[in-house]
Amino acid sequence: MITLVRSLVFGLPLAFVGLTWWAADQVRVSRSLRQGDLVALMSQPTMPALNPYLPASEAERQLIDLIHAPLIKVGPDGRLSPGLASDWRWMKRVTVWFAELKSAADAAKRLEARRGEAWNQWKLEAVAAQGRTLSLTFTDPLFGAVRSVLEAAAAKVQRVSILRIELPGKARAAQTAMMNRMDFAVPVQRVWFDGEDAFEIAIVGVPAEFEYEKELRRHLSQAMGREPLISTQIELPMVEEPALEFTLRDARWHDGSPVTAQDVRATYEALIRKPWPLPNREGLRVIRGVEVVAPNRAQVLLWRHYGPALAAWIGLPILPANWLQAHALDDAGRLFQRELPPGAGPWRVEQRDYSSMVIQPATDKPAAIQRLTLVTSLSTFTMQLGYSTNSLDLFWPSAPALPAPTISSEALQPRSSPPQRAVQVLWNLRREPLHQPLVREALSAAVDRRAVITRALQGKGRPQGSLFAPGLWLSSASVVETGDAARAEQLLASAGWLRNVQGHASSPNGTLLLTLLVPEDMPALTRIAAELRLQWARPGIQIIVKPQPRADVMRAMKSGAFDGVVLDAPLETSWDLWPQWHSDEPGNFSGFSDRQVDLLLEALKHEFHPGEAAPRAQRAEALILASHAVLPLVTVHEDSMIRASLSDGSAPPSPWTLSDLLTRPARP
Amino acid sequence: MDFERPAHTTRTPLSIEPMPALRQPSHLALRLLLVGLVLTAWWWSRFSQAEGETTSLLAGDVATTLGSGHAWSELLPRAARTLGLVLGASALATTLGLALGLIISRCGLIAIHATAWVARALSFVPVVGIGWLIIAWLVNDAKLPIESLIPYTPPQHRDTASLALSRTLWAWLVPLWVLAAPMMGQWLAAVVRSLALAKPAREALASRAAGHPPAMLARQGFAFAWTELRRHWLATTLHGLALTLWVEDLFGLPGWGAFTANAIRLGLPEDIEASLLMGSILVAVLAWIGHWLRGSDAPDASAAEAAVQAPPRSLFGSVTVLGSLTLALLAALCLQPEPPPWMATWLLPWLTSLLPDAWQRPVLDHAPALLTDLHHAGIAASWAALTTVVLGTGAALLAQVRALPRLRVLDTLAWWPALILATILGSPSWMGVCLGLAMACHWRDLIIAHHHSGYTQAAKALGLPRWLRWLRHIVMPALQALAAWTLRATATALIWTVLSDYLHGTPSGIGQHLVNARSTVLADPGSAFWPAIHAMAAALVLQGLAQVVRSESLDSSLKFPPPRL
Repeated sequence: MITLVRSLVFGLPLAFVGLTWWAADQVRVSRSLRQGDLVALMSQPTMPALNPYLPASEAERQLIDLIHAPLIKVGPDGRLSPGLASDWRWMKRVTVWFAELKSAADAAKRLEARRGEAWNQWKLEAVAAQGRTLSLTFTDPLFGAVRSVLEAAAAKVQRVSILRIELPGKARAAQTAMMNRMDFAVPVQRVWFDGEDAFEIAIVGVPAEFEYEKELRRHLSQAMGREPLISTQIELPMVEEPALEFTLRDARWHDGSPVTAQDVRATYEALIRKPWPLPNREGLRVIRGVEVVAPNRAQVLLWRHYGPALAAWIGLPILPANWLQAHALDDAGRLFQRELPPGAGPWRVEQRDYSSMVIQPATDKPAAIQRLTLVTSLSTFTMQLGYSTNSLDLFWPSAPALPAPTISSEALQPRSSPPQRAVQVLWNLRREPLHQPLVREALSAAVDRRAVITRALQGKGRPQGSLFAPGLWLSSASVVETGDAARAEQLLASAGWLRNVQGHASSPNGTLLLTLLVPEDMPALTRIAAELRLQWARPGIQIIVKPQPRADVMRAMKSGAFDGVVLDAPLETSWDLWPQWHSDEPGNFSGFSDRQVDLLLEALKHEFHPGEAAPRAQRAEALILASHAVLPLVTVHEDSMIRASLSDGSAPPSPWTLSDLLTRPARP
Repeated sequence: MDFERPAHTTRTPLSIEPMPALRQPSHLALRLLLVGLVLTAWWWSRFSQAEGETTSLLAGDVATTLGSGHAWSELLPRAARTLGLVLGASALATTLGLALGLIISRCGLIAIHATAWVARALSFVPVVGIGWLIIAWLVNDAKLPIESLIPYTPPQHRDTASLALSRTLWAWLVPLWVLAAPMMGQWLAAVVRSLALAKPAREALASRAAGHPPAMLARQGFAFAWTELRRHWLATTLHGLALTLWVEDLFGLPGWGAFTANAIRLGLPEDIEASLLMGSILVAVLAWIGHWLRGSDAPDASAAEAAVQAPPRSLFGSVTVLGSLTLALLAALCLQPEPPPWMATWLLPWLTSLLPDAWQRPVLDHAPALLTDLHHAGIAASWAALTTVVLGTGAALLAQVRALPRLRVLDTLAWWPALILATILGSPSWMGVCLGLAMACHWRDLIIAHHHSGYTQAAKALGLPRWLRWLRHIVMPALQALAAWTLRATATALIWTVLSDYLHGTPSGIGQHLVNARSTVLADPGSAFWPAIHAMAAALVLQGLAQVVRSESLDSSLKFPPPRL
């Protein structure tokens, strides 16, 4: 026994030493196999969950863009380019109902007989009769000779009543309660939900003796314990529904199965019920449903005319239907931490565990980079370790000032990401003296955006002069002037504000003193506000900066109890500016009112073609910016550091994403 | 019987340096588990916001910050990894220490003392400092990666099973060596002198006289060493479990230690609660393994005759006086909230001018932080002494009441790895209370031993009043031991303070210097080396003082009552 123990006592340490020596040697060999692949560090405590709809950081957003594919995306030129959808078009579907079963079929036959020239003239594409329903598909979402078609069909259609039922927070439950009774359910042909507070129904063929609205009010009062607000919106001979049809290209999920229209429908149905802050969410809200017309064609039906609904699908990742059926999405999105859905993007996840994640190209096309390994750590030491040992090629966010490496290493180059958010100052035009255009113009003239970026954002930002994301087809190439305090002072003088003995701009009514509210949850905004205060002090404008909880700031904006607000807002790809700038909208916090702009905004809502929307959007933007009701300041970027040998060498470095780096073709 | 090491005893896990021995209560694993559960319940009732019944919380139904999981599903895998790391480090530390000890013990007294000193010094180096230095050496000199911090997996077509295995091993072996270093130092310091001075058994001597080869003698020494290993294994390993908080945090390992360290750093009560629960299970498992390893309680014949030779009393008489004066000065310094101005203006510069040029700047840079930590360690030691006297005396008095059951609560508490609890609570006073628990057991045993000693019985027979008997024959002799233990506790508290400050991010102190070393250690390993050396040197000085002040006046005829299990 003692002999055995003695062998153990002397043998075990030798075994440990030998094992350590062998492991060290093999690890050297393992590292030497690193060719054509990158290692990136993300500064966060755990591996990213890769929730396609709730990216927690810019790095995660860029990873999701690699792994998942939307129907439409924004190309390098800022214009819409195909994603999973090779093509898309707008159309209009008109549905009419007949009292008798045979009437619809007869009407369809009459229209089929006129196929050809007449159809081209009417912009009619398809006719379908089903039961008492006749569906007409027009190729133009706005213009289509519906009356002519119905006359040609000699259709005596039933009137359609659109009812709106409002029951805050209980719209879906009320709809279910309504559909539980046959006398309410039978006439209902369409249902559209306006959020969780209201829904609209299209009813046809209600017996004359049945007081539908009154009975429905009584029924829902009993069922829901509260009387709903029911009103008849309109009565029409038909239901007109704009439809957006996507034609899918021949794409495959990373598990090999084909991407179909069913996946598009399943994605929409999974997302619409989630409270996630999706970009361009208004475009999803107006969707009545998604229909599968063919395995590679999906039709998105809207319940009202809303051209910017196209923007809802820009950059929206599509997920496989069978995966969505097998996995219930929780509101917090935690499912994605455990289960990764297959994507259809150019890269796929090879492996993910607690310490690292590996992604590689989804196809066998030769590429400069064959593999990307991601590691996470909050420790600046890990960044420095990677930098010093050439173990890391890319850091997010950018590494702090690094000490001189003990091991020689190539230089790192900072690169900024495309902007996701913009900072702007919104003025309350209802307040004195902000209702004076010259005062607002003076405030705009005094601002030096480059100084704001340098002093408040440590250089991590770019000047912004537009309401749209820079580089987008909607965005105007605006000239961002540097601050001119002298000109601002002249403008103030023209408005009757002259410097007093203290050097402050004043008028017979008092000094020019404004309060600037700032949400305190983003320190960068407070720094920006502080810098603006200094810049406005030069022409004599006094500013009080008031950091407050974001909820309080929003409350002040809604009640109009503010002078100015420094806000950050996501940069969306929609051309719908109505909610913020239409004079009748409660979301128009600034109180801006311009009839010409209102007309432009209304036209934009009904603009279905992105190319046509751009001139109108730019015109509306020019009018809004000319009023100086809003002061776009800067776009906020996240920086990363990349080894100089991996950079594309552009000077100055343009905003850059992982996709730019990883989808470069291999050198021949 | 030698007071230092009576039979049926082992060391406690509380202090780095061996205290006079403690008995191990029966069913220690179960007792430690119960203690852990009580601590978890106490933490939940005081600090945690987690809702629910106590029983469900103790059953592991605690939501942690690890995703949406609860304690069991999230922490069990982590606990398993930590257990593997600790057992591996313990196996390496004890076998390597034993092998080195056996070799050194044949090399003469100078080598033995030097090894004991080096081992003690190694046990006093904060494990974080060891980790930083090893990382700097691996990266800068050996050009090796730290796989656990920046993992890399080659493409599948180029990867092989041996490469995959080597990466996993490397990721865990480096931290294992870092963890094993202080454990080995602790164990080696405790036993190397014992190994050398162990008197061989009569049978071995007889066999040597009969002309048998020296291998027989070596075999006797080895048998003794193996017994020592079994006795000290649990104490060393439990200390190693506590050190995993820093080692796993440093190397980014997905274990229980890293989870606990993160919870402490960020102040997450639910996570700490789950850590305490899982830690209790780990402690119980280790205690069970220790019990199995210890096996029969019967001592080896040679071990029973081994004795550590104490230095002659007369030689150290005057040194004791000098040591006591130094102790008094140190106490005066430690109890002040800030170092006195005269220390900063002339004492420190004068002392550093005696050092070589290259050392002067680092010493001056770290001395203020060291003094801050000494102040905190002094507070902790004061609380430890207070806890010792109060709890120990109370336990001794209760032990006299035969009607009361012997629950051995104090002994059980003394075995729970208090470094973990002290770090979680983060204050010097609580650290002192945790340190005082083991000392209280010794104080209790000492009081009882003196109470039963011949001279006390004689004083009683002569009619001396009870209070005078206690004061003259029990308390006064025990105070010298208390002084030595307090100095040892100060040394331990100093290292614990450094480690605790590292996790809590306390702005002053050596711990903060080690935190700052994170950003500079690769370029300048001295940024980790000097703080660690300062802490180690100060702890060694305190330990040395303790050895000078230690109790010399104990009568060798002191008889300890047999343990009641």
